[in-house]
Amino acid sequence: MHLKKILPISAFLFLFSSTIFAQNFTVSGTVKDSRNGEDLIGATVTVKENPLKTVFTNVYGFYSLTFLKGSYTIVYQASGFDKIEIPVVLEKDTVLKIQLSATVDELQGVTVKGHKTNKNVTSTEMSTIKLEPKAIETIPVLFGEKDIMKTLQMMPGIKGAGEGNAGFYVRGGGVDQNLILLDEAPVYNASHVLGFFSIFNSDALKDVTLYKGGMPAEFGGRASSVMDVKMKDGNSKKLAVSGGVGLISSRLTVEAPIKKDKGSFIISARRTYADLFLKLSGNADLKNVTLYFYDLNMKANYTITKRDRLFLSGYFGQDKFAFGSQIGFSWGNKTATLRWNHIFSSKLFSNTSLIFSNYNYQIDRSFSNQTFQIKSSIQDYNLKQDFSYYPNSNNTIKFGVNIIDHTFSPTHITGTAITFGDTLRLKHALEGGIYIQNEQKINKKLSLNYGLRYSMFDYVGKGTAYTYGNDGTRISQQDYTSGQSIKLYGGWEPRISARYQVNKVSSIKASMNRNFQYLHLLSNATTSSPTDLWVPSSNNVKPQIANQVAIGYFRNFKNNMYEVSVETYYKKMYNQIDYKNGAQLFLNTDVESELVYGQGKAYGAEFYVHKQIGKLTGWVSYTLSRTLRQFDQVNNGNWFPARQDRIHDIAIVAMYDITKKIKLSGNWIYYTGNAITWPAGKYIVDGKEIPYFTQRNGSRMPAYHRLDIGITWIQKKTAKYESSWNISIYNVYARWNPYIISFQQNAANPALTEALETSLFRFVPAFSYNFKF
Amino acid sequence: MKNIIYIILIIFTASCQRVIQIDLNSADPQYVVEAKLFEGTRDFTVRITKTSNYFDTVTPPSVNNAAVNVSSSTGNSQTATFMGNGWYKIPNYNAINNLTYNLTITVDGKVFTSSAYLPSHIAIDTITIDSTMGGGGPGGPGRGKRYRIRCGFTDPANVKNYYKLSYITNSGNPSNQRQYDIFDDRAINGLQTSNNLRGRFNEGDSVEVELESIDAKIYDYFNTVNAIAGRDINNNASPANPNSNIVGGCLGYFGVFTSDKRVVVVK
Repeated sequence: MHLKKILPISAFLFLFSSTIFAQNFTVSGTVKDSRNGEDLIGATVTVKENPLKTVFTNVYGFYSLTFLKGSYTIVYQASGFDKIEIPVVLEKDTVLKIQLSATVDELQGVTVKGHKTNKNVTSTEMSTIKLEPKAIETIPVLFGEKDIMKTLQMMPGIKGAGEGNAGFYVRGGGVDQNLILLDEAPVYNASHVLGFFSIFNSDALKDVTLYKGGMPAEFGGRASSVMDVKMKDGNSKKLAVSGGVGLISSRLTVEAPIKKDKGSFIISARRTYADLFLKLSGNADLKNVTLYFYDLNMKANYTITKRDRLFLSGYFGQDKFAFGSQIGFSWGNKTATLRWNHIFSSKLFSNTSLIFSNYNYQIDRSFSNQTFQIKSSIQDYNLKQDFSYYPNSNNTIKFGVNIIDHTFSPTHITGTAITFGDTLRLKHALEGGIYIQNEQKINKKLSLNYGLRYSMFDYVGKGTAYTYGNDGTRISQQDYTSGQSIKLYGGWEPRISARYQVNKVSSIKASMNRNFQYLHLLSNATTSSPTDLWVPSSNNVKPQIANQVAIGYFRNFKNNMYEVSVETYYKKMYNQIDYKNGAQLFLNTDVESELVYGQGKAYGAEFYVHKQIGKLTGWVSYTLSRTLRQFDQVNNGNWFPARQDRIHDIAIVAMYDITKKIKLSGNWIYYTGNAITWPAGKYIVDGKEIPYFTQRNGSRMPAYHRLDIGITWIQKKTAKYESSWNISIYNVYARWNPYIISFQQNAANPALTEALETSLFRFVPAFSYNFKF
Repeated sequence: MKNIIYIILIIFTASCQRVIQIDLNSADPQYVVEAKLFEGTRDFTVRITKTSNYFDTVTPPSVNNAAVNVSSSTGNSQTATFMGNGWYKIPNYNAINNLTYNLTITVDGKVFTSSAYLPSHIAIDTITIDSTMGGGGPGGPGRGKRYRIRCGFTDPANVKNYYKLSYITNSGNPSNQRQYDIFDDRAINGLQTSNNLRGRFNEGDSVEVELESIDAKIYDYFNTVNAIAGRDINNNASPANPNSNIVGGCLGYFGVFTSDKRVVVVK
């Protein structure tokens, strides 16, 4: 790190104004869920006598509020929980550990998704989506596999890459521009089975937050978004078992206290068994197929002292595919996170994390007497130190540092007969970040969250760096020793968001952020594949940069029953990657020579109405947006629509509780077809018909839309045991949504070319049985 | 990879297919040039056509009013004779290895030019026929005895070489098309090597194997035309017109090839 660049940060520390009198005392503590002891993230802690004095609990449920000596009432609230008011006589620093109870509407006897806070209006956070798996568990999904990633794609500004595709696009960014974190560990491929399912087993998850913009300075590493997934801590009150049996998979979760209210653990497992049905198939080829995936989530936490708490969490998931003994293909992620919370004082909270992440795939082939393997992996070790400092009730300062050691093992073949590619040439890089941010209440109307992050990336040896000529051939090379810097990048990432409170129920927010991205995913196919390659920034590949500004209006109606927001954004992206004509990415040791670099821009408006309380809940989201790209070598240097340039995107999600026991749900999705390059003509050379192209992405796929419905029947619900059935239908009206449109010769008339549409899912019913005790 | 993805799709989806009508953009017709010059004394031929709309069923329109000239870096400038239906020809043009050849086509006030290098002759050393049991992949085994053919040759060291290795099975059958692979010498530089032909062959097949050496730009043309030729399910996300070695705004290419051919009968 450059010391010179750190110095301005220390100056920054003194930007906020604080007047700390000797008479001030601090109330600190934690807020938890009374049912299971889970930490409540983002719960609101307010002084009733002075509502300006408000703080939100951090991701470990910790809060700290400092104010003048005196008598107060402190109000604790969180969406879906009953409000608690605690009178306090403040004459010394006080610790208050609070447990909130979930709201139950006694009149109807139905748990309506209870009391809601107006945090969406009052916080400085914008362009942020929070989902709890619990709140969306009845939404109908493909094969009945609850999937938080698919639900996120029904939110404004987030576009799924389509059926059979793993990724998603946030405000025009690429699929590799999303930082996906599972308990702080980056996940490099969040999909199972070519993207039909995500790796996130909802049973193990507590909360998901997706930042489309205005990212806090504590996050860095990707250009467009952060998807922050947090696993449950495990029930610290009692043993709890839950599970389900579905059409293609079964799940089981066990959680229990290690010592009551001191520590707990959770183990959650899921495995699919789609291939078991294949054994019944009459087709000899299909009988030979093995195809399944599994996930294992584990987490334990323990409070060692009043000030110290340890967390250990891990994820292990694998997809396996095999055809007889000839082809084997497996891929998967492993992550582990060790965290240590330490409360230095009632005002200073610290978390230290040691994080491991690995993604790899392997293809095994054997025929006759030869076998060989194709392998690739990316592996990270990450050390992260974060502090939350609460100097007074108007400021919450967070600062921290992290350093990641990346090891890339590029695709290579080893086998009995052949060795090809970089078997030994691992690539190494160090990525670092240092940040400071302050959430400051200026006055009743205005709150700011401003921060600055400095990120750096050092592509280091041991290795050989090449430079390439225009035709892609190596023109020079240089060897580097272990740890020697090949190329160093770094940059400042300012992050600012502001909230202006118009009145009690409405606010205007604005934000601006810059993000650097030093890792890039190379994929030149229309569908994502487990073999898509992560590469580091290097002497040839520059870091991607995105600058975004956004402004929004937020208003709640009917005592927070309805949340309404409108946001607009403009994003400019630099050093974007595209591919040379005819680029070969798979098993290419000179893959960097196949890339071209350009710029992108995205802008749009997002409309969102969310009804949170009552028998009918759900949301309507509409996004109007454009995403364009420009490369000197592509499309004659003219701007062209990106593949994800969908102009209209609509999602309607509704959940209706008919009775205490029967819940209906449905969602309808519509979006403009992806931009695609289709031929404008054809010609014949060497006896073969060749398509003639005019504009990149100048055509459009047909619009996508579908309706899914589901019904959940709670068979039994007592304090001790709960069981339910869920039946759902995906694509009820059997819409032909194109997965791919290809062109082929008409069988009867070879002179005739016709367009052939392949659709994946038309009317797919599913059921599952779920239990909990 | 493609097979794997295909199988996974079959299993997880009741995927269905249908023929649909789609609207494509139309474009002004472009000139298409297919010019081929071989080492030694052989006919130099050029075919000039135009593009047609993608869904048209008519044969592509031919261009019959062009002036075609070819010359080498040492002279030997000759003008081709129009043969009808878009064809132009110089009979028995003598092309000498290690010279650059220039093509000039003038049509409707437009001028298309290209130059290409004719590399040294590369000879086929050996043709090897191996029997194989099916091969990997679904439905592979149990299909009886089939054969692979390998073409052996020696790559010259010290120079960058680009190859086109092609074959046609039972060329008397008009429905059989010539298949080819292209590759460069990055993995075989200076080595005596033996490359598999892409296909599998049956007993009794007559196979004509041809090894051609080409320059970098022609290699680039074949490489980029291959990228858009396939219509497989995992197709290219960013298709573009092939990189032509002809300047002036036309499609197609000026091919200058060395050539060595062998015919073998599989047994």
